[in-house]
Amino acid sequence: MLEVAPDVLIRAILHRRERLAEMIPKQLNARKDEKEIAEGLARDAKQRRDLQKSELETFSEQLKSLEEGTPEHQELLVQREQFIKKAEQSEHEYLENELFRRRSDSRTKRLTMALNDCQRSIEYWQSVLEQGFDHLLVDAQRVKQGGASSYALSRQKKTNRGSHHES
Amino acid sequence: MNREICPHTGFSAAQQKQWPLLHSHMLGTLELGDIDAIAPDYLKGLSEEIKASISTSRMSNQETKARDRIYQHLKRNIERKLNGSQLHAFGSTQSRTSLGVGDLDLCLVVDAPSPRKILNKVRNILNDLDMTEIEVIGRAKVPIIKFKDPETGLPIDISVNNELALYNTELIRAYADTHPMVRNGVLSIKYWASSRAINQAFMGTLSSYAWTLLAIGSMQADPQIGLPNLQKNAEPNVLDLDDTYDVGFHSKPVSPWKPNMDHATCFVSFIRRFVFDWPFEHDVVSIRNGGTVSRSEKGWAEGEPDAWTLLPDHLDRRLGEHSMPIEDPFSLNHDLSRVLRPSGYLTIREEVLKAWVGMLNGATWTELSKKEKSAEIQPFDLFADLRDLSMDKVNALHQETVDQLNRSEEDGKKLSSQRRSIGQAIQFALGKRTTPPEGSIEDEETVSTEISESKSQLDELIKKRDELVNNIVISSPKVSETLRQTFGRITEQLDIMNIPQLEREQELVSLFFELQEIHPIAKEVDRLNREIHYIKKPLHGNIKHLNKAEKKIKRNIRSNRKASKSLRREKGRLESWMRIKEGSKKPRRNDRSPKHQPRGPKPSEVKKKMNAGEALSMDDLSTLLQHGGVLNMNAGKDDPRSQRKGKRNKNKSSNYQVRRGQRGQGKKETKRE
Repeated sequence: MLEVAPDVLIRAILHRRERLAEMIPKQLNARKDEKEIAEGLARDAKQRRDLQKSELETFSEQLKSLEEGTPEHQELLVQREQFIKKAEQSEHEYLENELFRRRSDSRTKRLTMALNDCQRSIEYWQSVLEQGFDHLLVDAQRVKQGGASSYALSRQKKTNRGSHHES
Repeated sequence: MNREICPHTGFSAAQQKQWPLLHSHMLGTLELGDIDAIAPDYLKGLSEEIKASISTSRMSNQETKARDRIYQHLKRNIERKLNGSQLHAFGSTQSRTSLGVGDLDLCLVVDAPSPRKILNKVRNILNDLDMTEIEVIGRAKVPIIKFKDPETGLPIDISVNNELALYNTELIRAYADTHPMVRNGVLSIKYWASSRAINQAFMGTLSSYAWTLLAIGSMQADPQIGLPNLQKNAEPNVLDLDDTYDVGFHSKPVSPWKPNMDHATCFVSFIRRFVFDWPFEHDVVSIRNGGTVSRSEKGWAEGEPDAWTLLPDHLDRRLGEHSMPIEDPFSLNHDLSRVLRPSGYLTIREEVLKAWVGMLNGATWTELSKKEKSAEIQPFDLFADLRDLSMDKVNALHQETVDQLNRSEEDGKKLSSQRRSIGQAIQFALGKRTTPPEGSIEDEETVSTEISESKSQLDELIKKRDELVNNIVISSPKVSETLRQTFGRITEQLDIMNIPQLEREQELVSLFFELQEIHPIAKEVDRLNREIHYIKKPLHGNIKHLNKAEKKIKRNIRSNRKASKSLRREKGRLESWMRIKEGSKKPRRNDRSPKHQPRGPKPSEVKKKMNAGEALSMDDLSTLLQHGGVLNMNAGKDDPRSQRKGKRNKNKSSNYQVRRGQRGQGKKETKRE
């Protein structure tokens, strides 16, 4: 590892990025399709849930207007239990579909960003190969010339910060 | 061999000779007449004999003073050097039941978690006091230090936090104080037991303290004597030590007690009881319970094996528990007979029978008890060796001692300076000192030079290494590991959903090449560390060597100090003798009486200060007051005669000065007035 030259390492990075740039678009298309399906499912589930919710509210209003203990009131109470069950089920379905939608959306966004980053990275590393990589070897050069390593600098920073805090 | 063993008692022929009366008694062939068989005149004579023997064997005033002097000397030194400690005397001397033989028992009460450590400190103090034969027994139930006083040869024991013994002593003393005959009774039994050598716990018989309890218990159990129980219905006084103990007792009998007994009553009653009514058959001797308490009530059944079952060949084995149970009055689980060995048990029984048979046969007290030579304290004559010498010889001895002392002190100075140099060399080698030792070290010059050389080399290497370490911070193994990890992160297959950003890639690349450059530096640090280690190894060897040398010098210094101390003492002794012989009243050279002490600044100096307007110290003010105050000083009466006059006048008029000392200890003149 001590023998690995900078240009060799940069080529390896570039190669890895190019392979990724080839793979990402296929994955991105698949995720977009998945996202469309998930959005549809979530939308439907939401509509169903909202309907159940409003029906349950109306039913509850009716129940309040009746006198407690009357046979009608008893009957409505039994029906109300069924309404509650249905409402809970639709809520559950909605949450599941919404979660699926969010996950699909996130994956799609992430792939889009990765694709952008890969393209940016490929351009950058190609330019580095053509124009030179001295700016990446600043720390190495400093160490070579007997200067402090980035570890030492970070420790100094911490110490200084500590002494500032103390003072 | 088997033919010689008695089929009835189990005694071998030799044992039959050793314990003949006991053997006959067990066979039922021993004729034991009761008290009626003893003529009253004989008892009267025995009483007189016991009285005489006790009075002669009691500790003389000189012995008592010598013991007290040693105790006070130890108390002063130990209490001063061990903060918060208290040294108490206990035992028969304190309870006034001592026969003038035996050791001096002391108890050190100190608040310390480890008595062993305390004993080690006490050992050092005793060493400084020149005590001899010092032995620490730290692992015993009651840790103890044994030693001897060098002048009198008196054996002394100091136990740590043995507070219960102090209360035991107080209780025995209270019993002894109830009536003179109680003390005499205890002393007669102790005297007899001591003479017959059955009061040696370390030899498998009973301790002297156990015999004291037996004597008191016997006097309590005998209805004709009826010694009152001082612990009965006493106010509880709970002592919290390793356990809780009720140490409460009456200091004197609740109701008046006037026994009708003479010096022989206790002894005769004691022996008779042990012959005809062996108290340990069913009972435990317990003075807390007025003489005895039943074994069943106490829960102290006789353990196996007893002495009889160990006959004839196994007398060296341990005796079962509670074979002759004697309860400690405060530590109720402590059976004082636990020290008994089978032969000790049989000897005690034989001796009791021998005493009774002796009395039946009209034996005198001297015959009943053959006194052994007591460990009397020899009167000490400080000038014994000088008394026969002429003054010239004493002067020569003195001169020789002075020369020796000077030489010894010179040696001491040399040793101290050498020790200082070695200490400095060690500190220098350990890096606690920047400069090499000042003086030269005799015999260790090579080592010292080696240390100086390797130390400078070592310092250079350490400096170089520290510079590199400060620059890179990270260690060599960590560099290799991080290099590997970084390379892995840059080149590994990526999860498509978890791709690093370009900036992170840049950082990793930069770090990778920086680590490539750090790597050889870290390796250089490793090499320097190895080199430092190679230099340190012999350096540590040299330090060890110097440490040994320092220890040796310390030993030499100690023995030199001891020698100087004894020479100084000898010089002082010779000078005292010379003064005595010359009959001179010359003051001693180091006389520190107040007359010779400087009394602060001179009046003239104070006057100067006053005139110059300088600030006065407390000493100056004291001088001012002593010399008649500001007015007198200003009047210029600085000569001694005028001072004396002033003082006289002052005394005549009034004396309102603050005086030191207790009330009523004023100056003679004042008292006369």
